[in-house]
Amino acid sequence: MMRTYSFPRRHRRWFLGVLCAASLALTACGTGDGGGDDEAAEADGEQSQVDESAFYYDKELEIIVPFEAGGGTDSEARFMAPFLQEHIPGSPTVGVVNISGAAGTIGNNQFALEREHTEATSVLYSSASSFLPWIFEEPALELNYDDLVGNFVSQVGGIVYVRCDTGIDGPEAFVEQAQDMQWVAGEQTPDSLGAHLLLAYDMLGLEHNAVMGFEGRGPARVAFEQGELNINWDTSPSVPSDVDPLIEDGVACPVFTIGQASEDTLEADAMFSEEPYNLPTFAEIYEQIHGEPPSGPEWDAYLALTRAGWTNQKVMWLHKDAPPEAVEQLRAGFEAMTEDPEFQSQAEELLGPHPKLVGDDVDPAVDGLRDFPEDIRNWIMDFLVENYDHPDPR
Amino acid sequence: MFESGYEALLVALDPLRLLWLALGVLVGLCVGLLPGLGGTVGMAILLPFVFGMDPYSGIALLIGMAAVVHTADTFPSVLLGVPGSSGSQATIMDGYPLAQKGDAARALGAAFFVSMVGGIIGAASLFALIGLARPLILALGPPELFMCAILGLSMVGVLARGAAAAGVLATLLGVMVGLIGLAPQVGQYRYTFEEPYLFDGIPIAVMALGLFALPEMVDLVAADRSISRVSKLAGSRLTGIRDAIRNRWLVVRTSVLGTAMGIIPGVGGSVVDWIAYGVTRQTVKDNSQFGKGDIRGVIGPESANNAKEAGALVPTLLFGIPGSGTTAMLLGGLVLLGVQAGPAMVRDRLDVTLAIVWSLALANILGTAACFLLAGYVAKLSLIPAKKLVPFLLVIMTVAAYQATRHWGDILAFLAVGLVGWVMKQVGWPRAPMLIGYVLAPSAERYLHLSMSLHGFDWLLRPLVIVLGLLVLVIVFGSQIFRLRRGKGRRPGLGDMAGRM
Amino acid sequence: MPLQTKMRLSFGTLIVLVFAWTGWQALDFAELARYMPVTMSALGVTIGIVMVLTDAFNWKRRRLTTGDDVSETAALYGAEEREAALRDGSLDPEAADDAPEDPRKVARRSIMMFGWIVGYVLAIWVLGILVASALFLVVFLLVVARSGWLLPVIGAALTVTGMLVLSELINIEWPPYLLEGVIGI
Repeated sequence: MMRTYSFPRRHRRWFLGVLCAASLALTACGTGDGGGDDEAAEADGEQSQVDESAFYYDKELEIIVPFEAGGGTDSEARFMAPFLQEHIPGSPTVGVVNISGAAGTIGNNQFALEREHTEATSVLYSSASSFLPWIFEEPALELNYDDLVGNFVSQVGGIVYVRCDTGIDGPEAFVEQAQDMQWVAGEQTPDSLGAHLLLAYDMLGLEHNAVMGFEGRGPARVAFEQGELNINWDTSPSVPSDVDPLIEDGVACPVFTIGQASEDTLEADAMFSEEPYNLPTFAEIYEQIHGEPPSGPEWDAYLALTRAGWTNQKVMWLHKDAPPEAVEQLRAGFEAMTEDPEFQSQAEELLGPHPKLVGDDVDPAVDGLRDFPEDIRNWIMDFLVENYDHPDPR
Repeated sequence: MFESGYEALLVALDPLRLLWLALGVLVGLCVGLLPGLGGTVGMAILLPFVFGMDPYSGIALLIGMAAVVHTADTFPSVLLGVPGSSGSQATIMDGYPLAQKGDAARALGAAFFVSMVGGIIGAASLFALIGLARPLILALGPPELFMCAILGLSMVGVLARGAAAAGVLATLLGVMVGLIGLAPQVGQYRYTFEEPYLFDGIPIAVMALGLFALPEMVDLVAADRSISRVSKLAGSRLTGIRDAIRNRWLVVRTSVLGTAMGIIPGVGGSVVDWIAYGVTRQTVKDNSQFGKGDIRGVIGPESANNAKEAGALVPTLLFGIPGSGTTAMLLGGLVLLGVQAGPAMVRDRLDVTLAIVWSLALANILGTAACFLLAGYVAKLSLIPAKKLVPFLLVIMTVAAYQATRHWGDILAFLAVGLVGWVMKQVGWPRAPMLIGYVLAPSAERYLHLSMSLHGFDWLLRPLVIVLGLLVLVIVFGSQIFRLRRGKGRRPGLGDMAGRM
Repeated sequence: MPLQTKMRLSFGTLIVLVFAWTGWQALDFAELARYMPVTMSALGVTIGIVMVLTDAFNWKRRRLTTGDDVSETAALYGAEEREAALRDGSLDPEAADDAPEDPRKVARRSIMMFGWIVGYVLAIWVLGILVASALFLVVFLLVVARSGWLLPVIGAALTVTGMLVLSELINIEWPPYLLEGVIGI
């Protein structure tokens, strides 16, 4: 449990100011080519048109990230913070606060219990890892996601790949031979995002030994490269830097993409269904293996987990006690941010091509996310308890 | 590669970047100097500033901070017997006894000098290894990592000589404390009493402060004396440098060892200083003064812990698997700078990697110079009577303990661990093994489980596992054999009961 | 029986009980999370019992339990060895001026010091860390260190200033406390 504040409070700005001044002085001497001057110019632009009647005028907005600094969710939040500062009406100071621990539970609890929600100066940036404990009825969780209002949704794609030395070099070979192989997969704990993949392997009828206890995707990927595992998955942000080189080297052969959930179908993925990957979605690969489209409770569970784990992986939440004008203006801020061409180009590079939902698209998405029927929930937990030694919370 | 190395040096020597580097070094020195604060706190301070900086400047800032934490953290380790951060745990074993003998300045001088040498050797190794390290890391599967954890645990055998049973029990106690929190392979909370503070276990800073700082403060006041038992400081910083030069091969040996341990993902970083200490103690001539203030007991771990930082960057940069909290946050910082760690760091972003290497080397020189200037004054702290020094220390330690997770539990755990540590100290249970057990419990459990589920018992036959196993046996029993050869053990008398911790 | 021996035997017994409890608790854990704590607790109970018995035996036979590993900086350092050495004549009472003083007195002072620390923590809980630290420094320095007024006042002022500067510069945070609404720093 590590909790780090990194809130650029106004009275601490002189610190940054000194830094900038020093760097500016150096740049002026013609010795440096750092980013100091660009930043300063930008900052000037920001100050020029501030709406003093806005809800967030002269306020500090904290983005609570329930994970350690440096993780995927944290990087995304930190990336957005300066854009939000610019685009939320009233230009509040936006800072990222990491309250990590226990798979997001500590941060969730602090947001729920220790923040003044009517002031709307704290938002929670959740990811699937901190949202799934709610689905799995983690007893220690004090936050009820039904009490929250979504403002922004960020999508992530998933790719599943196998070792090429299994003889499977792509989706076609996978369809033909997957059921004859003995697979070894690596996961963190059964109640994490990996649950979804375990379910996917199970539905495809793969003989698999799921080894629990990896520290995350990175160590699992190393074990895959070592040949300890022969099937593995990753999320889209880490694919260009970590998986693509493995594909180029002929170590990893991608076989399918998780896909993205819509109403009750599985749709193509913005990154992995396109060039250069051209991967079939889970539903397509299922149909090719079994000869019929997926159905039944496990299919409902798969779709629900896709929605929670990937299609709406990261959500920026405000408590529903927040004043309506705060919600409205925050949403406007997000909308303006996604329309900023500079944001678009940098986001494409940093976060990948997956869509970001803002405005009117948010409500149906988060409602679908939280709409986890009791029977599906129970079905998933039975699945984990029976197969993967998950302690039954019920 | 040397050509690009030279170009990278020119980039790193840009005055603006040197300024950022100096700023990073300053922050690193501050968090290192304050016991209980470490690289993660430094990262948390700097991360908000890096977004939008050019990658080289951002790297200079972050690496400058990370590189010198283990230079400055020697101050509390030597002067107070409290690990300044997780990397200087073993320095207290001989550093603090040296301070008690009035040799604080000498110990500090030696420590800073070898920190710099270690840091530079580490940076050079990083430069040499970065192209070759991938297969090296890929050779280390869970079984090998488990054996590394066992290697760390075997240091208990070295540290607890003369108190084998108490040493093992203390280790087991540490292991149980290390198990508090979420189990690594299944969603099970262990020994948390449904108290959210315990969900992630007791933080290492609180453990170290509680085990070592609180008991020391109580005893200093109870015995009513100053840290130094002599009233005049004897050795100077230069004596320390001379000591280091006299032991130059030890410095090189432990620096290389430190880099190598740092490369081992997941296990290496947390125990490297203990292993360096153990190895130093087992490989030098006449180790009878170890634990009582042998300067080599400072030189060994201090050369290793700065070298480790360079080693730890190898898995971080090449595989994106961080070896410590600091490197985990560094990864995040790199993302904000537009650099994704991974195999591409050698293929396409060699410039960034080399900038890191140079920043490391430069930061180490800068940090050592600063510490060296300070050392003479700070060493005088050890002459102040306890009753006047301890209240200030107590305030600092409490503030530091609370920074671990910023939860009231930190302060309460600090008190509770402190009480246990004090009793252990009084009744002759060694406390260092407890810290080692605590640090290694999670990795030992994780990698044993992974080894068993991946390979059954077959992993025991892997060549590297066997080599590491033999090494453990040599370390544990080597000293016994050595001692047997030297002659029969003496009955411990008063004069022999030295300041072992 | 010297205080140190009593402490060692009771601490050993307590630890055996702790291991017994952790092992018993672990039986309820999920299978994968059970192995490590159960094994370690079993080892702990076994070695712990052996050690307590060995200590007791050593005490009966040699009147010495701590072995050579007791820390020199421990306040109760060598109390037991000192008594044993004085008894068997290997330590000349005249030459023992460097030897530690009566452990009971030292123990009392140690407990006092723990009292001060607990008091400080309680003060933090009620008054907040800034006020409590200043208060603690002044009172402790005046009462225990018996110093004049200058050191406590300047020391407390400098410490609190330092803490404030740190909190501005590098994200140091303070614990919440009872009278936060009244004092408000």
